Amino acid sequence: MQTGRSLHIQSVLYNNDQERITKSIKSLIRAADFAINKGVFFRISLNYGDGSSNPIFTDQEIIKLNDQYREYIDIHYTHFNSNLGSARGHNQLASSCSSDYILIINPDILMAPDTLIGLFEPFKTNSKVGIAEARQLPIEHPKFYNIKTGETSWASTACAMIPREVFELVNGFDADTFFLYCDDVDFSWRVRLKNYQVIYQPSAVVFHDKTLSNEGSWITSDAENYYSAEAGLLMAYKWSRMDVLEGILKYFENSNIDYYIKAANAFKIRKNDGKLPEQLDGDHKIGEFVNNNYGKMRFSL
Amino acid sequence: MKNSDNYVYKFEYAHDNVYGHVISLIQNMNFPEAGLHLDIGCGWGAISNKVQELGEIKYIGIDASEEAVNHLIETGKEAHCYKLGKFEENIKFLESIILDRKIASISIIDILEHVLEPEELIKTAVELSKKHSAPVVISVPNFTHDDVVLKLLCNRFDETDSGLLDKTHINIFNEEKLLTICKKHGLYQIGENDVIMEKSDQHFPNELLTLAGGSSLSQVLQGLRRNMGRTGKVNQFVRSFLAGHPTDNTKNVNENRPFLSIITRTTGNRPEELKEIILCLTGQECTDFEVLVMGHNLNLEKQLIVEKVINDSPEWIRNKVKLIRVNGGNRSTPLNVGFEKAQGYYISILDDDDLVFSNWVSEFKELSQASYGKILKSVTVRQEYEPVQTTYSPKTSRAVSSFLKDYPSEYDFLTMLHHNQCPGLCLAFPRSIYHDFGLRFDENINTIEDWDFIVRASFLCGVESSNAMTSIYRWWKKGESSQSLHKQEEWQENYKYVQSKVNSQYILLPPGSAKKISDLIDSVYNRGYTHSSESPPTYSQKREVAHRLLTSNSWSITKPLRALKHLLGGDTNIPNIFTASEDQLNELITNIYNSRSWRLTKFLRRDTYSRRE
Repeated sequence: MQTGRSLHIQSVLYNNDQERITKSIKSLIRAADFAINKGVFFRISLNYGDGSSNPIFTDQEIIKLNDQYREYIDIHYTHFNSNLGSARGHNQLASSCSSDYILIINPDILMAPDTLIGLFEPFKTNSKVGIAEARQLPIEHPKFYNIKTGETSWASTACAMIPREVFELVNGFDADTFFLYCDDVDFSWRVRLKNYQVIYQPSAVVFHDKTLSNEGSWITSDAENYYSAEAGLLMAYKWSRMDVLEGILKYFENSNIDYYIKAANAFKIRKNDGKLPEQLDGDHKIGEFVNNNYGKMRFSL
Repeated sequence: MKNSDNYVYKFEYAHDNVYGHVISLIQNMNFPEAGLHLDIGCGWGAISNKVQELGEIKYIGIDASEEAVNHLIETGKEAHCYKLGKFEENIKFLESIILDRKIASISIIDILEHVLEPEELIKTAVELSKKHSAPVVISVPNFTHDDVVLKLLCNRFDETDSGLLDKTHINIFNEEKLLTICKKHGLYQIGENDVIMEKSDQHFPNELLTLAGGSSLSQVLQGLRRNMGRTGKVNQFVRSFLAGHPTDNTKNVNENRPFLSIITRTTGNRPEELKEIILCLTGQECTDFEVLVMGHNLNLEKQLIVEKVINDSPEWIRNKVKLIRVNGGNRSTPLNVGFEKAQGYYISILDDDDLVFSNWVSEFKELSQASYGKILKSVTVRQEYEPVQTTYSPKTSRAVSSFLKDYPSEYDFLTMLHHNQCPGLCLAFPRSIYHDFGLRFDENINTIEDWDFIVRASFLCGVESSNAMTSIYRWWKKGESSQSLHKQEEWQENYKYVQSKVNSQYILLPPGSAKKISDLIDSVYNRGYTHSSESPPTYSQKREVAHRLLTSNSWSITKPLRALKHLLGGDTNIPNIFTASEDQLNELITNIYNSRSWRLTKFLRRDTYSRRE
């Protein structure tokens, strides 16, 4: 049994419901209890960075949570004083990390008791694993993965475990380029550029509260649509797929959908201001753009 | 001997009346055959001779009627005149006549309904039973005999000089009340020999529709009553008891019952999926539920696996989950046991491979607030899954299709008569349908047991539907499932069985059904034409309709499906509509309307295709 291995769990908050976060903590405690008892981790901390204008937790509330759960984890809470977005928020939280592994989670996810153990499993025997991703329920992510090795194109950071060394090796998320979406796709691909694997771990499950429309389709807000469209353009550029970029831009410009037009304009402004990211993967070995998706999908949502 | 012809309660012993049943119960108990038999409220002493034939038994009768007591004394029996009262007085009197003699048995035949304080008499019987280890046989008339209940429905309450509604009764009993007050004071039932009467003394007047056996109303109500329990035809409850420690059931009523009882069947073969469903329940917005995990035919290894999954979960959810082991039977058996044990006001079936969104329980609760008593229905989508096991994971599962909205949002009573459109997890049943109305999952079938139950329950409860999407029904493309475990022939046989069963019963349809049925008949008579007059459509109108059907969007969209499934039947030709005969057009139009693809694409069409839908 290895001892001394530590885990730093981090989550970026933005106007979340405190009750749901507390429920998430309760599930984390159980998973932490199991992971510590199994000797997978020796020490676990939970770190929240809050980008909301009004802090979600008071100092007293954090003290109370620590009093309640200190036996299992240490809870740290930082109010960012501004909305840094997902990528920058996570970079900031990770900057104070000295643990061996980082687990990035959405603030409202609920873990199964064996999720931390399951997520660590690929790292036990394979030193080339750069990210292990949990399976989300009840809506499972449709992206393709190898059903023998678990290898996949990229990992969603709704719940993903990364060795700190790997996080630092790729300098974390590209916060200058991505605000809300695709920071995890870009991060995963840069991890793969460094010859690490991204592993999907189907037995490590988390409940991620999503709902379907009455027609059974995925519901997205206009803000989500906008940031996702903006990120799509930046991804195509950064990963040297000018053909894809051109196609998307043309489609957006000819669209009558506001957020598409807005995203296309924002991209042009960034280009004119010389603020586009450095291009990577010129020989297209890593970046996968398949049918308007990042990588192959098993089905569409 | 005084002439007693006018004495109302002078009943004779007969082997098939209450007295015969009391004697039979005492006889079968094999208790000491020597000692006293105390007949409290003995009346004319109908059992006095028969009791003494049981062995070395001496009969003692006690009654408030001096006339009845004198009669017994005159026939050589020991009898005492006493009006029953408070416990202490009763005991004082009885001990004064028993003295140091041993009581072998006690009977209290049709007395409790006449005394002012029946519980004082029960306490008295308990005291004597304890002291002498003597069994007590009690009989009371059943106020919930079908005849009484069915007459009350028609506002009929006919008191009589004696019988079920004796005008001197000051207490009424059903089985539950009798057993509850007995337990409350420490009398525990050890035997029963009720008097059954298909038609009681209250079976009048014959013309009353609820009583008249030939009327549909009577048959519907009798059918409901049969399911409710076995006591509808009991004229008198005849039960034997022994004294023990009092149990006050009235104080044990659980007032903190959850809103929903979730019944989760598992055979222990899917620990990962069971873990997932418990995780989904952990994520519920409304946590007012209990989970009964029905471990079906678990061997020790499987039991430990299931227990581990439950015990691993966080404490707050673990406290809501109970494992109940069920051995034997088929897929219906754990459902029946689960429904029996359920404490919730509503009950839902969530199998160990289902998945639910966070709004699953809360949608049910919201629906119940508007329509309490109805079956509650939200919407489930189907998603195809298959087993998977990677290098780093145990055997688990993965989705391989998008969400398939195969199940409609609205519950359609008529379509449900034809086939099941509701996976169990999208419904919550009022507990009363099982506990009060006796509906059971049919253990004669091992598939579609849910359809059978849903259809029967829906007629009694009605259904309140919500459009909200709350759950995912996993459809296994590979691996073990009810689809793979049972042969097609079994499914078909069970389908016929359920249809035949439903067909043999009266069905209750909600408002709006008459028009739907009328429209269906209309479409059959008119071969699908909408017409504004009584005149049948002309040959040229039919040709026009056939043309529009064949060129409609929905028909075109489903073309591959048609080709694949031969939905029009192998023999059906699609004629050239401009040269087709009227008969050929009739056949074509009818076949299209009857085809599955036409029905599946109903939502694509406007009214212009002339069918009333």
